[in-house]
Amino acid sequence: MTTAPTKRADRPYDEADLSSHTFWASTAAEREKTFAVLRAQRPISWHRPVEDALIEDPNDQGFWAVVRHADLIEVTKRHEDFLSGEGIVFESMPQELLDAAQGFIAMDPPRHTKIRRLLSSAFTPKQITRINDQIRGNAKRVVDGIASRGEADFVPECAALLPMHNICDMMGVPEAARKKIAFEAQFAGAWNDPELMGDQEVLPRLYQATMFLREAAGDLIAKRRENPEKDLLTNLVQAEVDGEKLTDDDIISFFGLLTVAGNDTTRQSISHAMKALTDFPEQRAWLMEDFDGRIKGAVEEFVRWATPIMTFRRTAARDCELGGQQITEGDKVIMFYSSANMDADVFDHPEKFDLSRSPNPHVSFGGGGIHHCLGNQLARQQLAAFYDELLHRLPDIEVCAEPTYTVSTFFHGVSHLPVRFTPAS
Amino acid sequence: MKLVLDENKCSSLGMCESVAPDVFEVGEEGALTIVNSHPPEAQRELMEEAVEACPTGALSIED
Repeated sequence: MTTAPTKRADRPYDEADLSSHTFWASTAAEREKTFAVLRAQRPISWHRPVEDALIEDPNDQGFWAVVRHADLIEVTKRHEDFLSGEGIVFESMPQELLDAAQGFIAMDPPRHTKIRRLLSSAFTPKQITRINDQIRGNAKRVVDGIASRGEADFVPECAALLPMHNICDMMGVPEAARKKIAFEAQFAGAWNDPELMGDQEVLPRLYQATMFLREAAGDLIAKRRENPEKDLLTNLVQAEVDGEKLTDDDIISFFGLLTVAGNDTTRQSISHAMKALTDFPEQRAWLMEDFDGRIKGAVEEFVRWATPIMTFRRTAARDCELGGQQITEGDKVIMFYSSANMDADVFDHPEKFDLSRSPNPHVSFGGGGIHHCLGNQLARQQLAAFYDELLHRLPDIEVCAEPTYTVSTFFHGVSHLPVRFTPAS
Repeated sequence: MKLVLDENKCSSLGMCESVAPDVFEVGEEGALTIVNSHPPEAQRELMEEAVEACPTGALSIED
């Protein structure tokens, strides 16, 4: 049965809380209790606006929550009904920040299609295989950095460094600029995090981070125009779409997107995997019995378990139906990937970290459709290469204190993860 | 067996290529080429897997 369309302002809010700061500051396990109820009873539900709004938006009267695996896939595939161009995060954002920071992830066809093809050549399976030595080299370099010490804060000293070096190698960002760029990129999804923000005001700090990334990208682009090199940035500078070259602004926003998407996702997967390998020693032992034969499947479970991006938003292009609910043009629709990845209709015992899970149709790279993660092969390759290096060089490495999680409605982030191990050379 | 590509749907992600690198290739310019659009019958299962892997539903098999 389909309910009649309702005006946004008159729609009653669901009793479940997905909007408060408290909800997003709790743990994944806590949030899952709410998602489980919604999946079972009210799979498409209407909620009050998120509490930590970025700007006053009188049109923001709430959002639809999509929590089931099947419904999430449907929303992703119906890109004509559910648009990305008005923003892909929960919170309403000033348009200039959207333009500057989100690149083609927040575009719709036909522009999205053309732009995306330009970038895809850098991320194809053959290309990722080609840079496999580089990825392995970076994995070794990162493990070298902690190996002799016996203990480390795994997130800043390992998990954050590997994707940083790999994405910077691809784009051609020089060594000296990398850490600052990766640091500023964090603000794009973690502005709710008290540790990152301190007493800084959110919106000015977001602008500052965006401006920094734009300037850094602008400098690099100017250098590539002068002296072409063999990297993604040079390809973009030289690329043409329908006979037109990309503008600096276009390239700058890809740079922003790749920096954020490339750093903060793989970083979270590496971190959550380390914690899970500590918490489920029998799974780790099983993996090590035949590492080369089992790592490919294990990586899929790493990314399901981590679900590094918890939410993406769409905006309804027209009045339409979704899962028996009548959606009104302009409604925000939020997909909850962490919930879909725990959907017992699709995963047997989703609460188990099971490295032998097969098939594993997790949605951590997306539910299909035109915005499916461009970097999925790169991420998979990095996770496999890193854990090969880490678990063979430091075989007893384990988490030795409680992690600190990042507060965000977007990234499932880990800020700190103390580890210890027998030092090795 | 014939492989058919809908170029309007293809986003050149290369998921098909990761399943069957001998049959599919995303080129330097970011366009997907089907290297062999009539793969042998013995590869049917693999081709079905490649079609299934496409996130945008751009591939199909015509018998």
